[in-house]
Amino acid sequence: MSAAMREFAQRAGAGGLVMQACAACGAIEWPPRDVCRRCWSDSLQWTPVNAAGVVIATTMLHASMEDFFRARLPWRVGTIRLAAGQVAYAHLHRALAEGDAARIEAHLDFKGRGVLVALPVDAGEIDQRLSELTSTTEG
Amino acid sequence: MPERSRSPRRSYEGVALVAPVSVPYKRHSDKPAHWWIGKALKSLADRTGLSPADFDGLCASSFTLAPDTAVGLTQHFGIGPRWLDHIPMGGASGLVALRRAARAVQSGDAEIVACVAGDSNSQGSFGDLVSDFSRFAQDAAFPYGAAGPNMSFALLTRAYMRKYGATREDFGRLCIAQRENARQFPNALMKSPLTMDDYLGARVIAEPLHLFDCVMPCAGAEGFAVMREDAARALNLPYARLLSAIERHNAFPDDDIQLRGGWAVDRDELWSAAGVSPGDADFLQTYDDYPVISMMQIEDLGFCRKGEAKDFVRSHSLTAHGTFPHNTSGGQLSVGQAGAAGGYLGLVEAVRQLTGEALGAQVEKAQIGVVSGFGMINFDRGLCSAAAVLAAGEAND
Ligand SMILES: [Zn+2]
Repeated sequence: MSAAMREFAQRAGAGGLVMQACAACGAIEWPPRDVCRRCWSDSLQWTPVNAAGVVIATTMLHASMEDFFRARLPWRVGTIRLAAGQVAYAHLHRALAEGDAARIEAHLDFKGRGVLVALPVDAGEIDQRLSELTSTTEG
Repeated sequence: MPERSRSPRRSYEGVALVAPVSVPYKRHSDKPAHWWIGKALKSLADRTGLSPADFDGLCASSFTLAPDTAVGLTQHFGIGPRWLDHIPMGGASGLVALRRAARAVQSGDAEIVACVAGDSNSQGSFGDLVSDFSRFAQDAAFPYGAAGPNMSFALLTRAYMRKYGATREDFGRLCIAQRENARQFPNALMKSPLTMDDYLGARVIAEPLHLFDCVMPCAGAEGFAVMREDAARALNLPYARLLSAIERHNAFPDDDIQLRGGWAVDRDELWSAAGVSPGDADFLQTYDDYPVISMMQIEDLGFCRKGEAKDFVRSHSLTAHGTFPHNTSGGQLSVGQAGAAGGYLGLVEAVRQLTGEALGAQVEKAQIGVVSGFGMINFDRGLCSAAAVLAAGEAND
């Protein structure tokens, strides 16, 4: 994990969505980085951002290199266009399909990695599988 | 932004590609990348009749050479080149190596450049390669199911199918024709016949990708040499000429998902510099890590309009003796993906076709060939694209 990603992980799971915003041009960055992709400024500040997104594409994974996912295949992930500007991968709630509006949350996964989870706008809680993703701890 | 006229690109006149070599692939190998690259260099020396000291330029690509780079290879192989490059561009490596080497021999910075790519594949090593691939992949792609590039390509294949109406059968047509080509290619790891039923009925990997949409990682090496045409003639080596070549990195960064690549930016220049048009090509070698990427290249290089590769593959026969010979050695989907050597496979095959040295099926009277490369899913899309138009050398006519 990069240092910038560790900073994201430290802020994940506290509710809301926090990403780097460029103090010079306002661009929102994803994945976390060291220098702004638009203006090359290094003043990137962790800022609460719009947690809305749209599902661009979805897939169901039937193979994985990690035991956690292997035990829970098939596993659903997707590409999200964030209202904040960038494209991101997210673990997907089972009810989400392409074109749907989504609400994005940041969580820590079973390995302590900061990850994005996409939920239906009106879903109160994450589904069982996603809840295992964020509540299980592996050494 | 100030308006600037783009500097005209100089021609690649006088550049020759010679001695296409392949070290037969193995599914798994405990031999390091150095061995595979060294075998390719030895084949290059044998094929050209040159000694190690005659190669005054070296360009290498590999994913499994760490902690070494091309620098370490000079000492390992006992050479003192005056020109050295290391190209870490995956599936674009061969074409980018060619572009660099061509300028080196044109300018006189080197006379004879050995371009090589090779990778090992020991049991279990592929997982490490995938999980450590790049910073963005480690941080923001791999954690989403630990599926490696299959996830990214599943998502963009799905988006491509939805947008343009391509079907699994369309991808199957490509894969089946390539398998037909591979059946005659001695180095192919997969030679058993592939039917549409086999293709459609294969195990699902990441929807909509199934087993035969994915390459098999393996060990292997590929290479060729670049020199001036007069040098190739003096050595009595059959050669191919370089008519034009392009590369582009991180094209279309604002697209939601990758449905096109950098070829779409540069293809007009590719064709105009070559002085030929897509209809003049006797064959096309695309980078086929997944069939959707070959379809994108067919479109973005101008062989058909955007979104119409599905119609193109329905209306053409794609084998070496078909109406549109494509990936005539079988491509990575049937030969195997030997790491960075996968970025050389199509180029090496193209030189063979144009010099009449095909190891498998020979395209009849091949005079003009197009090769395309694609590499490096750094996060959510392949960043490197490259292409070249080649012609048979005059001595081979
Ligand atoms: Zn900025």
